[in-house]
Amino acid sequence: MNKSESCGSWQQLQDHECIALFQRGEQEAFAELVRRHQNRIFRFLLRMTGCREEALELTQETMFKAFRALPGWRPDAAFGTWLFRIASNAATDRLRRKKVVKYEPIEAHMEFPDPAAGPEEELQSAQRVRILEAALQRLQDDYRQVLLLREVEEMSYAEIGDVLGLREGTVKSRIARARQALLEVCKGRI
Amino acid sequence: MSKHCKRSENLSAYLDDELDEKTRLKFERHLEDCFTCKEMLRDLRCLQGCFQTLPQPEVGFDLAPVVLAELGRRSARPTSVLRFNWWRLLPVSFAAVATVSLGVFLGSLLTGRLDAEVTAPTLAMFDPIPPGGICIGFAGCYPKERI
Repeated sequence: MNKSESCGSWQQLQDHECIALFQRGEQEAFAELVRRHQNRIFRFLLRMTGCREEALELTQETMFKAFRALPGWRPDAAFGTWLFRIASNAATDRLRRKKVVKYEPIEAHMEFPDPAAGPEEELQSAQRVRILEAALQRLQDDYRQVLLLREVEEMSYAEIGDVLGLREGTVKSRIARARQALLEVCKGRI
Repeated sequence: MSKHCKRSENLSAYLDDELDEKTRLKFERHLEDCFTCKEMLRDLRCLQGCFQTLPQPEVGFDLAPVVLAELGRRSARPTSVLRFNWWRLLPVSFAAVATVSLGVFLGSLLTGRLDAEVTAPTLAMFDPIPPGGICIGFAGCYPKERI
């Protein structure tokens, strides 16, 4: 790969090709990897921490750690999964350090938008989203983590196992319990 | 979800298409007769649909230059200073101890010699009281001619 490639051609490369280039000293390849994955990682961390600033800080921290670890990286798992593992550990550490669990009533998040803004379906959909976001924040951290990886990131049980360092059987039972807990929190509201 | 079926774990995996063929067929047979599981499956599908409608917040700017700039700053910063390694202070400690010892030794040599030189002539020529004298109050105790 020529070092003087244009920005457009970076986008055509696969993750593992970017990694190989980065391992040969091409920093722009790492920048491309950051651009590709920053929003997914940020969204996950935002829903884990519930705070935009904190999520942004942890996203950067995840990228720093990836930068340091990438020179010795071996493709045992997909790069995205590996990045989620770093992000997940960072979120767990942060939440453990904070050790503050806020159980806000779901009703506090049920601010209805202006009815004039759109049709009734839109209103109901917006309301459901708010309830779900609030319910997710009320779940215990490991349940929220596993549900986000499954439902939002659409990872398989094997991939979730890779991210969290768990066996597939454990992932299966944790997801089932997390769903049950979420349904109980959202009961009759969604 | 208040009514539980023992197979709710399989139900969740069924929803995710994570059951092997044999277990899936067995569970589908169970599903035909279990009202609790049917109801739960409907709830879980509804929940799954809600997840699909969640907003997709974004960072809003290109994080790559920020990350690379911060990495540059971090690599320029000396990190070894932050760690305390006691053995790194050993040479300095030895040098400090040697300097203080040398100072004390030289000081004792100098002060010892000065005492000897100053006290001897004073005693011999001017001091009216010889060493060991017990009467220091009266001049009459020591007649002038003896000095």
